[in-house]
Amino acid sequence: MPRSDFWSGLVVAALGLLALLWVIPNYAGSNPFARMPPGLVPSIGAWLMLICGGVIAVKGLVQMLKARIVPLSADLHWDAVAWAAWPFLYVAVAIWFMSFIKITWFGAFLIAGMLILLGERRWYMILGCSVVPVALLYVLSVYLMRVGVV
Amino acid sequence: MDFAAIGTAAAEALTLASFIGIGGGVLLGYVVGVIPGLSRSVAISIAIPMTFYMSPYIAISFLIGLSKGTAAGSAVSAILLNAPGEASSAATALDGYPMAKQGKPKTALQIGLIASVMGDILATIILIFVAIPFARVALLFGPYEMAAILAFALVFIAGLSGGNIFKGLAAGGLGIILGTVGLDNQTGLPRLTFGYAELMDGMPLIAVAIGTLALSEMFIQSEKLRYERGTMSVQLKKDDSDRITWPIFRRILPTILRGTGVGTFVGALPGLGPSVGSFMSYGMAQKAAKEPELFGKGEPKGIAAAESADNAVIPAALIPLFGLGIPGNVSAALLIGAFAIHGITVGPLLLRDNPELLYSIFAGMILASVIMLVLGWYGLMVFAQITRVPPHVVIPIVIFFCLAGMMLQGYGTFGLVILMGFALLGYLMKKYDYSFVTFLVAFIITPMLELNLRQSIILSRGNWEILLNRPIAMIFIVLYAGRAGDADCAHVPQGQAPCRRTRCRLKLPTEEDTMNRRSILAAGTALGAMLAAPLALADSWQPERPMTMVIGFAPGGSTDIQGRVLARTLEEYFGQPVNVVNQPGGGGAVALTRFMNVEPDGHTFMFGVQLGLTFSPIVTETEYDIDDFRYAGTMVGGQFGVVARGDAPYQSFEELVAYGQENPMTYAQQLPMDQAIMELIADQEGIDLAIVPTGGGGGMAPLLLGGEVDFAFSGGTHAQYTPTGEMNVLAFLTRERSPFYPDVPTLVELGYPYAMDDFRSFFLPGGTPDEIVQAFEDAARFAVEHDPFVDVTVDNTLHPIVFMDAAETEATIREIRAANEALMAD
Repeated sequence: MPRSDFWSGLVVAALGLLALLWVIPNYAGSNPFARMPPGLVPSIGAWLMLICGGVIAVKGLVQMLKARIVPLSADLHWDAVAWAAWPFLYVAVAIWFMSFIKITWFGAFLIAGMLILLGERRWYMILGCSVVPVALLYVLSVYLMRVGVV
Repeated sequence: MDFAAIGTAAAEALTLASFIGIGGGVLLGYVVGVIPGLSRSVAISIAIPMTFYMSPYIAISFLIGLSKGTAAGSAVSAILLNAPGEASSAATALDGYPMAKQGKPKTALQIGLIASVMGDILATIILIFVAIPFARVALLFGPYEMAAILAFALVFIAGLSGGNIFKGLAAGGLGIILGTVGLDNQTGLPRLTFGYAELMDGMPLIAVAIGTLALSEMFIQSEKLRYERGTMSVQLKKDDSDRITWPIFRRILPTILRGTGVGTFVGALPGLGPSVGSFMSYGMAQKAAKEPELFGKGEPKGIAAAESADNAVIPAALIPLFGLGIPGNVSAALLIGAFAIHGITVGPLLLRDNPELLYSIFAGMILASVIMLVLGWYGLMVFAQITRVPPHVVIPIVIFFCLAGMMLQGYGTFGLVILMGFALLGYLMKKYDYSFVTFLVAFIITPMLELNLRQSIILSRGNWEILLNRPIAMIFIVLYAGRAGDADCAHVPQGQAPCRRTRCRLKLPTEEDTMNRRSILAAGTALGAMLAAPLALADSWQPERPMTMVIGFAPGGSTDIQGRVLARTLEEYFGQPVNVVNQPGGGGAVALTRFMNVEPDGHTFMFGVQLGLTFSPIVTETEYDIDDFRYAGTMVGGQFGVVARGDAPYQSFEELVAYGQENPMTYAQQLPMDQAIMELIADQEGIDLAIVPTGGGGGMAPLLLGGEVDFAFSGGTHAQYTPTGEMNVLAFLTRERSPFYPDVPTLVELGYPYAMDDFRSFFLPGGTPDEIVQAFEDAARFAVEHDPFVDVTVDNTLHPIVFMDAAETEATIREIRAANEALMAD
């Protein structure tokens, strides 16, 4: 926990700093005549992130020093990381697909593929679970919402 | 009380047609509400066309029943799947989902249902007894009070972060930053949008809510499957103890009553939404609890607090609607559209002019609550079966519905990328124990808080002593300070810079007034066109499949109302179904950005205002320009005006100027263009003018009617208030007078060479063949003579019918763009 606090606090503080030094000055716009400049409220948020992230990181560091924990660990389980990452990649690829094909047309494959990857092997479960939601979506979008196939 | 009218209303509410209509609305709402991402405003906009052939009473009751059903249904997915049907149910998921995981899904669902129904019925009763006489109390809550309430709510809810307060505040900081993305409400310039037109309306709330709550939860659940394969994340056992019992009900009853009070209070104040109500109620319940640490772990009071407040907001939002004609939230704004379609003007005169209808609607609302209880009670037994499904089956299906929900909302691939980003963010926040509740609340509240804070600072002109005359605001500031102290939260300073108003030195180009060429309801020409249309159609392009009409504004506004009726007109003309898709954002810029790449085959077209072409490209870098589209005819004219209260000491623009030369004045703007024009006039006439930003017509009306500002810009909102004498149009910013207010002069006529115009037209993608453009031009000719479209446009939304052919439409767009560029050059 101290190690994750240290690193997450550092990341939060770094994001706050990035927002204050680059994002807000360049993208928040400016209006010298406004009584409340457009960058004021996001700056408050960025300061909160910077200060709180810094406090979290320092507290984590102090706890690590007390417990004699090193900031980095070589004890990384890459298979666990891969298992955590694949659903993200799967959905990301699905989103990329959706810029070419409507989700109604490939939704059944999207669900079926994930079911198989998650360990489902019963064909009737795969078929039913992948077709029924897509059919419901079709009825909803075409006949109820009348927005056509999405 | 008119007891004869009440008797008639009760009799009408108990008819079979009434039961079927309201029951159908509740059932449809329940089904839509269960699907993550489909909110009640989406449900209402889906259903409005279904009400065309219903009586006004059945139609409105159907829509209100639908709204209530959606709110109750969204709790089902929040509790069973941790995927809130809409953002306001996110608070329900905080305890509902953990309770369901503990093997008590039925108990959680029953608590949610009972809290929903009780909150709903009690708030409806309050609506019936206070709507008309006490609606004006809501106007006492001006920007000072709203800013104080929102700041209080933010600090109050920040206390929910539990564990590490610094992690909670850091998450809140990120929520604040992301909550400010979009067009700045004062300058109209894009802020933190990184050049993406899709972000001009801000980060889509539903993408943030679904991403951080539902999608991230599915990723966490799939990760757990590695270690816990075979176990179910949410279990449904044959357990007789899994039901609500009398001791549980007795325990949550005070929470329900408190939640109803909070929801009613929040709903009655225009601008605050159900999300603020449900989170505020949840926070108060946690604060009042003897064991607050149980919240977030399946505490029944958490579900009761969130659901009672969420559902109480719906009837309460009708208090300002029926009492003042001001919509309290998006759903209420949509109902105004539905009322307009059925020829009813909501507001204080509804009771005087149509008491039977008003009491019938009240009776219908009570009936809807009872039906909701019955349907929900037996329906939840069916819904609870979802929990029997093992997680490895639930995960892909929920992910599919999350993605599909975003597509149904019309956000496209960009919205999905945003959704994915927030899913990753939610995953990391949960992994590293950063409060996503504080993040969500900060994200939701920040835009409202900033707007009200800015309005307060401008209206006070930097004089804090004004707060001494605002006791309600003072009470909340004292509460806020107390809570800030409790939570060890840093008080946020409000930086101020002395204001120097923009000095513009611009004039409208002196062009020949091309409006002379246009005809407003030129009956002879149009009649000929109408007779010729069927003959012309026989030889012209015809659609081969259902068509899609894109509207670049949210449901409920005048563009949407006109567009939906126009869709039916076009169905009659083209002989094909016309589906309506709303893609709001950036004054139509978001829709235009997406629209420029559609197939130019005439089956997808846009109907809307020209601001996205005449204004948006001036203030932001857009991917499109005028040459990227084809223009196929104009049907409706705009009516931008300057309005004041009916009882103001000035009844004309000249009197306003004379008054302003003696007294400092405040003006509520909506667009940078109208702000620039008013600053020029103030400069010229020596008026000490403070400009107050608003959130559109819905934000302007409470400010003006509540006496917070002296006069305001109106894009058409005044149509609801001028018949009652509550508002007075002093001048039009358009180049021609409005046919509905023939005695009101334009600014040009008054000697100020400034004007802003806008028209509602058909847009087609670039590269569309001439024959298709011609077919739409002919359809526009047909529409301006088609009674339903003309009636809704003229009688209900008070917009003039203005016909222009394709060439004239394009020429007008270019002309207005040039004028706007000159006006905005400073």
